[in-house]
This record gives sequence, structure tokens and C-alpha cells, in this order.
Amino acid sequence: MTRDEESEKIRALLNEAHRDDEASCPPFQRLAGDARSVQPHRRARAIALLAMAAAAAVIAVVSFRGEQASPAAQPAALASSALIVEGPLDFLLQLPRAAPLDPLASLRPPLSSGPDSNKWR
Amino acid sequence: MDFLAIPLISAKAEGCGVERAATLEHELASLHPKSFGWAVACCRYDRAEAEEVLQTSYLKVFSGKARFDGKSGLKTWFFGVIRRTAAESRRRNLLRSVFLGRMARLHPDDAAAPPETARDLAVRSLLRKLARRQREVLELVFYQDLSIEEAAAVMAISLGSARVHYQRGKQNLRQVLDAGGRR
Repeated sequence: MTRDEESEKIRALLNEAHRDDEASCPPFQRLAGDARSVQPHRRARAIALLAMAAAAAVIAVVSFRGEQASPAAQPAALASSALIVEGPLDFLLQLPRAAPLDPLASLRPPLSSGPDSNKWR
Repeated sequence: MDFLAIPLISAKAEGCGVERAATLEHELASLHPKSFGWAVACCRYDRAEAEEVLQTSYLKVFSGKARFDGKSGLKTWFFGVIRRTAAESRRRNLLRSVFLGRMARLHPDDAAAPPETARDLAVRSLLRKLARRQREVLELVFYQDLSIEEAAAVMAISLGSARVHYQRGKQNLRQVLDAGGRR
């Protein structure tokens, strides 16, 4: 078999394989029209997805920052920083009872700057 | 109409407007029967899948996802788009068959192929015996009348690889035909 004959044979075989393609070929206008009608839907879907992703990102950022600066977290931090640290010899500084020298009771009424202030003089 | 002789259109170029889009659409419409034939070949002769692939290819073109940059002929470029779309569809179907194989077995009617005549079946089963790239290069050269260089551009492979697939494809097809003739 020569090269041309072989080529013709392959060509005939492929033509046979595609024999019904032209008959079953869908019209261009239908496929193109369908493609165009699909296009806006896909674009709208993509825009909606982007918007949702952006909203989710904003919510995540806001909640994260709010969590960082929330007042509920502050007292705990203050409490931990305000712990009184006692040293081993601090007990020497503690008084065993109340102060021994209480001020004596005075019989004199407290001085006042009113009209009767010279009464005892 | 020889599409390879058409002046190259750059849809990417500045000032690409409605007129150019209309020209591109007109040329795609003229190319449509050949495009469908190529889509059928890329989908292993499944016409229903080929229709879906071709529609997705048009969608890619109209949405600007696939752009003709004028580096090759329009036919070569669009056939490349169809080939890539068919490959994506094949991968998607493979994943679907892996994950939903059980459902497909429960509903075999959904996956049923369109009826083929006995002769169609015989010819196509012969061609299906070839490796995918060998079959593709033979389709492009002998059915779509492209050169081996253009076929290489469509298939996104080097010219040397395309020549190897071409030679091996012819050789294997000869063997398949001989084996079929002997039966």
C-alpha cells in the first residue's frame, strides 16, 4: 500500500466515523445563545460569592479586634497584674494588734467657728 | 472559506469593540460544524458530551476567559480551546464517576450513551483503540485538514512530539485495521 493510499484509507475511515456529525450538529445560534444566557448567571454568582467572602472577612476582622479589646478581658489582666507579692520576711512588718496608744477622750467639745464659740472663755 | 488565510484578529488589542466581536462570532459560526466534529473526537465520539464541551468553549470565548491573541490561526486557537475544555470535562466526569459511581450504577439511564448504529460502533471502536494523542493528531491532519505543525499547536505539544504521535498513530491504525480485516 502506498503512502497516498494509506492516507486515503485513514481519511475515509475518519469520514465514516464523523458521518452523522453534520446531521446531529446542534445549530450555532442555539449553543451560542445558551452560552450567552449562562454567562450573566455565572457572573452574578461570582459577584455574590465575592461579596459573601468580603462580608465574612470583615466580620472575622471585626470580631477578632473586638475580642482583643473587649472589657471582659481587661479585669482579668488587671487582677493578674495587681497581685500582692509577699516576701518571706514580710510578717515582721505586721502589727500583732491594733495601735497601743489610742488618742484619749477629750472632754472639750470640738472647736467650732459659730456664734457660741466664745462661750467658755 | 479558508480560516487560516483570514487576517489575524486580536480580540485583546486596544479598541476591540463590538465590530470585532461580531467578526469573531461570524467566523466561529462558519467554523461551527468543524468545531463540533473536533469536539466529538475529543469526547471519544460522545455527541452529547461534545455539545456540552462546545457550548462551554463558546462561553469561554464570549466571557473573555479564552482570548484570541493572533499568534496562530483562528481555527488552531479555537480547536485548542475545545481540546482543553474537553480535557476539563473528562477530569470532571472521572471525579464524578469516582464519587458518584454508586449512584450512577443505581440510575444507569442517566449515563446511557446515545444509540449508535453497528457500523458507527465498529469504526469508532477501531479508532478508540488508538492512544488519545495519536487519535487526535490523525483527526486533525486527516479529517480537519491541518498540517502537523498546526496539530501540534492545537495539542500544545512540540512539533517533534506531534510527528512521533502521527507516525505511531498511522502504524497502530494499520495494525488495528489489519487485525480487524483478518477477523
